[in-house]
Formats: sequence, C-alpha cells, structure tokens
Amino acid sequence: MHVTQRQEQFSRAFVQAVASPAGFHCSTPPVDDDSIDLSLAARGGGGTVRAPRLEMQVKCTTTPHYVGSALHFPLPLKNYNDLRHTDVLVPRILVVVVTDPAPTRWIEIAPPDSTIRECGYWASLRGQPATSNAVSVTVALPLANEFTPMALANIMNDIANGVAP
Amino acid sequence: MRSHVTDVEALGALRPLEIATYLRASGWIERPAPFGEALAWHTADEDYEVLLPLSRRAPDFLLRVSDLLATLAAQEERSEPELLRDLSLSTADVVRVRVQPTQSDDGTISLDDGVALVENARALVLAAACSTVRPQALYPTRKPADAAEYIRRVRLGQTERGSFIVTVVSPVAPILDVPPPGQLFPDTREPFERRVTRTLMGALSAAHEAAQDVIGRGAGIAAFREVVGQGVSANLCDAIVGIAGDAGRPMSVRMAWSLARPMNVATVEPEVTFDPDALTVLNEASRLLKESAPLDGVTLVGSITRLDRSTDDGPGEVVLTAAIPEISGNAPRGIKIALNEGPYHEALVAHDRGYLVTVTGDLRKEGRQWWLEQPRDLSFQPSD
Repeated sequence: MHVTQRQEQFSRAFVQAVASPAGFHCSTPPVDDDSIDLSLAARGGGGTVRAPRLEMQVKCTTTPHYVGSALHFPLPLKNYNDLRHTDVLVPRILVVVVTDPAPTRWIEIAPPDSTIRECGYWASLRGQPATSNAVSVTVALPLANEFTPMALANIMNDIANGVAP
Repeated sequence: MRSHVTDVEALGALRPLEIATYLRASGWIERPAPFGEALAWHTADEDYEVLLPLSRRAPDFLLRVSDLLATLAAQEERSEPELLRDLSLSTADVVRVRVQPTQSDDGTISLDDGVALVENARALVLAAACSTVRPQALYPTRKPADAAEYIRRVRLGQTERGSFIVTVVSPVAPILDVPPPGQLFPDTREPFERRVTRTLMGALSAAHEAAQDVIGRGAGIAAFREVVGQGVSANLCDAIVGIAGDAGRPMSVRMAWSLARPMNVATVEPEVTFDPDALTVLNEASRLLKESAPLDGVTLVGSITRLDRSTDDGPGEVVLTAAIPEISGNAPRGIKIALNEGPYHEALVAHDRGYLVTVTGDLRKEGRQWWLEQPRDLSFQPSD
C-alpha cells in the first residue's frame, strides 16, 4: 500500500480509536462525498444512526507546521468550501492527525502501555468566509483542540443541545 | 437486504414531500430538527430516528437521504432499492400488471410481448377510466373526454423483476385537512384519478367472479352483462386477455394505493389474478359484449353493396359493406342503413360510380343484422 494510503487508513483508525471509548459509532458514508470521510453518531435501533451526529473530514500529516499555538494545515479549496457551510443538517469539522514520518512508529505495542503517535487536532470551519484562493486555504487548528474522547464527548454534548461546533 | 443504494441520481430525485408522506403514513412522528432546514422524525417507540431535509439545496441532501433510506430499510426490514421505489411512488396509486413469461428465467420477455403488455396495460386503465365516467359494455375508439384526458396524466414506471411486472403510475392528489380557499370544509370528494383506480380493481374483481360463475357454477356468459355496471366492458376483457398474450399465461393486477390518500382496503380487493381458464372465458365474454352492445357515434368507411326501395322515389334501405374496427377488426360486415330520399339518391350514385362512402351513426344489432341508426355526415369519394 502506498504510504499516503497508509496515512489515510491510520488517521481514520485514530479517529475511531478516540470515538470508541466516548461511545460513538464511526462509519463511512455509503454515498461518495469528497469532503466527508467519517460520520460519528450514537447508535439507534437495528444498527442505525441517531442524534447526536457529527461528520468530519480527516487528514494526516507527518510534517506538521506549527505557528504560535496553532497547527497550520493547507486544506484543498473544495474541502474548505464544503466544510464552511452553515446550512448543513449534520455539523461537520476538520480533524488533522499528526504522526511520525515512519509508519513503524505510528503504533508501538508494549503491554501494559502501548503507544499511538501522536495527536489529532480539530477545528470547525462553519461560517468561514469565501476565499479567492485557487488551490488551497491554510487552516489554523488550535493546539488546545486536541481530539480526545473527552473533547469529542463535549462536542457531541453541545450538538445534542443544539449548539454546533 | 443489505444492499445500499448508491445511485446518486435516484437518491437526488427523491422529493421531501414524497418522503414525508411515506413517513407520516408509516406512523413516524415529526419534530423540528436542531440544525438546518429540516425535520427530525422518530418512530413511536423512539428506537429509530431520521433527518429529512426540507430543501434539495441542503449541502448534505444526498448524505441525509442516504442515511434516511438505510434507517428506514433497517426499521422495516426491507431492501433499500424496494424502499427507494416506494418512497418515490408514495404520492401515486401504483398498478402492477404482472405476467409469467413462458420460457426465460433471465427476467426478460420477448420485445413483442413487452410492447403488447404495455399497450394492453394502458388499455386496461383506460377502460376503467371510461367506466368511471359512464359504465357501458363497449367503448368506441373515441373515448369520453374525462377518460382521454386522465390517461394522458398516467405514467409508466420502471419494470420490475418478479415474473415480469409493468408498473403504471396514476398520480393522485393527497388528502388535505384544510379547506380550500373560499370554502368552509375540507374537500372530501374523491378525485377522478382515485375513482378510476377504485373502479379498476372493482371491475377486475367482478370480472373474476363472473368468470368463476361460468366455470364453476355453470352460469351463462350473460353473467358478464350483469357486471357491466361494476365497470366490466369488452375493452377491459380484451386488455386482460391481451396482457396474458397469445400463450394465455396467467396474469395478475395488484394495486398499491397512494399513502397520501389512504384507502379503506376492506372495501376493495387489492390484487386480482386470472388463470388460463378464466382468460378463455373473458375472451368469449368480450365477443358477446361486443356483439350485443350499442355503439354510438361510430364512423364507418366502405362501399354500398345493395340498395332497396319499394317505390321509385322516397326513402329506402342500403347495405354498406364496411369493417367495424371496435368489434371485429378488419373483417367487413354488411350494415343496413335506412336513408331518406336525398341521401338514398346520393348512395345510388355512389354505388354506380364505385365511390367510397363515409358515414357516422349509432350501431345497433337486431338479431344477426347490424343497423346504423341516425346516419349523418354522409360523404363520398372516388376509391383508388
């Protein structure tokens, strides 16, 4: 498997690993959507999805660019425009997983304390302005927005109360 | 059962109203959705939940409809493709005409049979529409205006697997609880489209019963004359026989009433099947109904083959040899016409010169002889 594909798989596995202890089900949308990679939700009857629901675009980087207290990430223009909609029925965010350039260091199994490298950061682009850029937009993801089970639970809690991230 | 519909075009073609109609009719309960222009629906037991976008312009319309379809399919334990079809047809009465193809197992039938099937399915619905306007034993080529206008609004759906099924879609206005503007009470009269589909199923049931009477209880073919009032006509019988085809395969008609205008199914049979024996009876019944049915406003084209006048001038009788398409296809018959002096003289001239005669009138049968009464619009042209 090509390394970018491996990164893609790993970053999705990372999100799923965070979502599981928080109690949320992770799935890939059956309809191809260029900007939504994963859908998180509570479980309804018969394995269906129910509120609270969150959709996300998941990216991976092995060469993170930190500026001040944020991770700067070049997001393709189409993704940027799709993530900044204000009239979607299910809120959506961007998650960027930072990991090591060497795949062998992504996950280290060493019972009882295995390691997964390194961290995911999330950001909401809802309501962001249109851009005249032609290719990509540099998005700043606050380093305070670590994508952890607790952070996810808080986001979902807000959603359940009608507050979009 | 687990196949996901990924056909973006099919999903994108669904309209929120169709989906809402289906959900409401299936007992789902609506409430406002937390985000965007949408409604959230849940089952009474709150186990299942869906989000319904109210506008096709929502950026995640396709994703939401796809989720909705998956949840609905899980809740109903049905396949997504089947559900997709039902959702898109929820605001129409759907007639499914089904035949058993003779040899093939691959889901195909011969093209010729297919064409005959669709044509006769149309004839079937049109016959029911005619009977809805005014029940009679036989309808001429020119149908009542309301029926002719209705049939133009009827759609042909996608064929379906399962023997071979032709789907006829009859859109029907949903029931509204609010009075139309300027009125006090909601409109509870049944729209014409629903009366047609109701007549169709009633007529099919009556024809089926009459056929059973003939086969099983030795009733005469006259049993069919008695059910003309219920919508049975020679046109209907011909359509049923035509659908079964030359091989006389069993056929059935199943009706799915629009969810937007629920039907009390206890009063109307939703599915009627005709086996080969019944089809033979129907064929005979059709012949009988045609032979004895008065047919108004028929136009005949033929030649004068006999003239009879007991005096040198005055009125007389002529025989026009012409085909009566509605009754016996192209086989010419001798039809008697009583004419006044003027028209009789014209007929005489036409006979001498070998002209073709066109005349309109009302066909009646007396014994074995056809008569054209009230002859009018008599015209002649040289035959070539």
